[in-house]
Amino acid sequence: MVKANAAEFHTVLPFYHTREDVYACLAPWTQEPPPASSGSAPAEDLHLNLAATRDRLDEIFSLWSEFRDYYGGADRDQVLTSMNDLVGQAMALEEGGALLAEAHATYVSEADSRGLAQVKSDNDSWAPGFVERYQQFEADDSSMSREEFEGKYGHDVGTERAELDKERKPFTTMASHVTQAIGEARDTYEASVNGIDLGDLSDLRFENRNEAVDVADSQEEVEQWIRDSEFFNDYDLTPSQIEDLAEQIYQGGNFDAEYFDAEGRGWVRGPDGRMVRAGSVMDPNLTEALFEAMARDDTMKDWELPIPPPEGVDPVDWTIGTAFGQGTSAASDALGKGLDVAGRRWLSGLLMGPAAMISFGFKGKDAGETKERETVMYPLMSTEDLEQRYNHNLLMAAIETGANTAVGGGLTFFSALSAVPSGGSSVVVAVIVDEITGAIIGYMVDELDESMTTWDADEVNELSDQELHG
Amino acid sequence: MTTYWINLVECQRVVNDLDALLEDLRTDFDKVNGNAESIRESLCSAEESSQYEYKATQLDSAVDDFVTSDLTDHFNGIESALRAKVSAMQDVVNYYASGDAEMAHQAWGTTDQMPEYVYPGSGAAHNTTAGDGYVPGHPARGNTEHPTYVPGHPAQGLAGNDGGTGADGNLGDTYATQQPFVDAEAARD
Repeated sequence: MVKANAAEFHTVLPFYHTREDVYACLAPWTQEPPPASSGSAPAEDLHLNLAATRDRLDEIFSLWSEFRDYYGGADRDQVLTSMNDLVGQAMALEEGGALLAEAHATYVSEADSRGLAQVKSDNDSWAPGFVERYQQFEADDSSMSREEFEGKYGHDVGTERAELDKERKPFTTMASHVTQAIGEARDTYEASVNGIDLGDLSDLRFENRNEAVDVADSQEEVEQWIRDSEFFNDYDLTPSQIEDLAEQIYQGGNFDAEYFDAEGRGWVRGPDGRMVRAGSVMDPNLTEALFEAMARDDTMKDWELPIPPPEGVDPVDWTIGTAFGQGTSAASDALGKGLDVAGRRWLSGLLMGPAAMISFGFKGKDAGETKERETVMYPLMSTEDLEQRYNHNLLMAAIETGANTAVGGGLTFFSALSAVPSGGSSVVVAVIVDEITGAIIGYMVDELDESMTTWDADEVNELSDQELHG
Repeated sequence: MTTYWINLVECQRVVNDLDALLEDLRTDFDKVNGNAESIRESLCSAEESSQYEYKATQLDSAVDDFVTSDLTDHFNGIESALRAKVSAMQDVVNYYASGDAEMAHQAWGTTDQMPEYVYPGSGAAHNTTAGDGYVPGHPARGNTEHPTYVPGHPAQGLAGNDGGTGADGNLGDTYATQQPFVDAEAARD
């Protein structure tokens, strides 16, 4: 074994019946829980460094796509698609890091718990006294007469031995429990790490929801997006402001892409890791262009962002100008490219894919905050699409957890995987019930399998434009 | 008639920019080993049960292997593939810039596979403004003596989103010299 540090393995047999035991084989020794929590920050940093590496790679893929404008040899298609496999491999880097960090977090909760440490501490404060008493008992047993012994202990040797055994038993059980718990936590961690298959993780998934595949064909369409957008509901934009923003977002309809499918359609990595069409409302480059355009505008730059600022930023200063303006990079970096670790941390709090929703929880107030965050994450998305997407993610989260969940507004979301009849590829997975009246408000119908809401690379490459848009 | 085009200046600029990004590609990844060391320090206690010490050892190896072998190999694979592709693209630029394209073109005695040089400064797909007007041998289509310089190349066939060149795919099969982009990665597949 390659020792990662100077910590030496002090080989100590754990049970009192072994000869080398620290407690003279008389009292159980409890294993020290590993200092796993001290590895939490490094595990998170490892994930973030891989995410930052992935962002650097994304930047390369986007830049490569510029050959589209400058190279027209007979092998042009080959040039354009030559990054495709690497896009998935780059994503696997980050996902592999996320899985390692997740496995470590599980290890912390299982092997470095306060409960185990308490057992260790109880055992260690009890054992020396017990050993002393036991050794005295043995000495007395061999040196005293029966009368002397009973005079001192109040009962015979057999009874005293039984009492000492009885006192020791729970400590022995707990010591064994600690060793076993730590051993199992290590088994789990090891299996998780060995189970990370970077090849499998390199398989891209392509979103097939409309908001991910419909691409702006004109500046007017982008203007319509802005008019329909949930994000801009709270702001009063003049027609000329809308036109101005749309022009800077649309930029002639030439959108940076990372992946080109067989039909020459460009795709980019969406905020939650699945591929979306370059030029769709979910394209993070468009989001970035939008916020940067707003940060350049004399009026809009002073608007406040309706989400909590990253650490170290005064909420009062949390305007579009400070977040996305020149020289300030926390937010624009987080939404776009070249993320630093701080930006990443902030973004990971902002992102609300199904997995994030589970850890974030989606009750009442949190659900509201989730929506706000998504509004900022997808500022070009219409209220309707945002709502549908939110419900979809909620659904996926409920499917993954199988949980009955309060969704806010006095509604509860009951997982109903087996309770409600279903047909075809659509399955009723949940019912929404009014918490007060108990009435069923509605059924949620969706596909259980994520493969039905996304495509893999082969499927995308075979899709005609018509099929793509369903 | 089929035409090919290349904007040498912009292609070279993109290749240079790619090289610059590749220079810094390892910056964040190089920190990962240090992170892994710290993670491994947290896996075991100073005092371990001899009964289960092997589990600590196995876990330590699993984390170590994943980072120093799996992740590192995976990353190195991506990096070397990128370097090969960027270098292949540099070869493409050199091929057109050196006049090899013209020579190949003349050797085959054909006219319709000649790349059209988008004249430096004329812009690309989105710039249909005429360049500085230097048009040797123009109109040169069919002219086997000179490469075709087309300042202010019109946008047909260049549009970024059309997904194709309008080129006749068969031509490339016939004349390998017209497909200078040699992707070592793809070739291995």
